[in-house]
Amino acid sequence: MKVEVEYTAQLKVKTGVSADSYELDEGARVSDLIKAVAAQHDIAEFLPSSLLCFVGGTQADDDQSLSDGDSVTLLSPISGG
Amino acid sequence: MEPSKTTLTDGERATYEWQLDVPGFGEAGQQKLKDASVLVSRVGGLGSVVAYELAAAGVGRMVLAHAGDIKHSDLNRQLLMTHDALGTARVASAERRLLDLNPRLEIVKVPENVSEANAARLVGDVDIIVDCAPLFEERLAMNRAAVGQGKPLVECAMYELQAQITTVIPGETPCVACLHPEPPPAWQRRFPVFGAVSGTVGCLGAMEAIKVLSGLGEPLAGRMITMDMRHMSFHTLKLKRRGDCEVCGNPNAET
Ligand SMILES: [Zn+2]
Repeated sequence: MKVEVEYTAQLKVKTGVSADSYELDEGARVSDLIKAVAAQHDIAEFLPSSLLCFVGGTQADDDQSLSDGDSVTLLSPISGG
Repeated sequence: MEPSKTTLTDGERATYEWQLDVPGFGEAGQQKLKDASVLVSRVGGLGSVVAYELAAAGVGRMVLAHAGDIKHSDLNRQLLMTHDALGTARVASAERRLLDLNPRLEIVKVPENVSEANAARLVGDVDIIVDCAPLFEERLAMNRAAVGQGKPLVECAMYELQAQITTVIPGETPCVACLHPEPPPAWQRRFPVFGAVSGTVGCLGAMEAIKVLSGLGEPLAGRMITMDMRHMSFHTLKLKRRGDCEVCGNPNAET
C-alpha cells in the first residue's frame, strides 16, 4: 500500500522535502512507516520520542494500522518564541 | 477570577466601541477582559505581540515574565523593545510601550524567565497563561503549574517560517507533556526567525486568550494549528491525550 507523508517544523527542514510517499506492506503500522522514513532521511535526532504522527489529521500511536491512501503528517515539536 | 473591580467606564466604552460590536462578545465580554489577569511568559518575538494585542483589547492586568536586557538581535522581532532602550531591562521597555497604548493596564514586571522554581507562584497570580518561551524546560515547568492549578494555557511556538499553536484546557485536553514529556534533544536555543512569523503566531495566541477569557468562539482545545509561511500551508491537527501522562494523568484514557 502507498501512504503520503507530509513533514512539518524542524523535520521538514531536516528532510529537505515537504512531502513524499512510501510503499508499505499490507498491515503496516505507524512504527513501520517511521522506520521507512528513517531509512530514507536522517531523522535520528527526532527518534524515538520527539516526533508526533497524525493520520488523516488525527494523532496516532505507534501501533496504529495504516491503510492504502492514508495521508500522514509527521511533526517535530518546536518552541521558538 | 476575582469579582469585578469596576464596571466599564465611558472612556473604556469609547475605546472598545468597535469590538463591542463583535457578535457573542459585547459588554459582557469586555468586562471579562477587564477583570482578567494574563501571564505572558517572555515578551520576545511572540510574547511582545501577544501582550500588545491583549493591551489593545482591554485586558485589565498582565504579568510579564522575561529576564535580561535588550540586545541588538532582539530588535528584528521583539516589538515591545526599542532601539533607544538597548541595554536596559526588557520588561521595563515592554511596560512603557504597553502603557503608551493602554494607560489603564495594570502591569506586573517579573524580570525572570519561567522555571520550576517560580512557575507555581506566577501561575497562581493569573487567570490564563500565554506561553511564548523558547525552551521546552520553561514550557514544561509552566505546563505543570498550569495543569496543577487548572488554569488554561495557550501554547504558541515558531521556528523558521513555521509555527504551531494549541490551547491546553486542564482536565479536558492534552497538555504539553502529553505531546512531549521531555525536552526534544533536537531543539536548539537559537532558532531562525522573522518577526512577521512570530508576530502572526502572537496575534493568534492573543485571540485564543481573548476567546477563552470571554467565552467567544471555539478555542483550539485539543487541536493544533500548524502553519508554514514559506508555502502558506495551514493545517488543523487533532491531538490525543496520553493516558500515562505524568502531568495531567488521565486514568480513564486508553494507554
Ligand atoms: Zn498531559
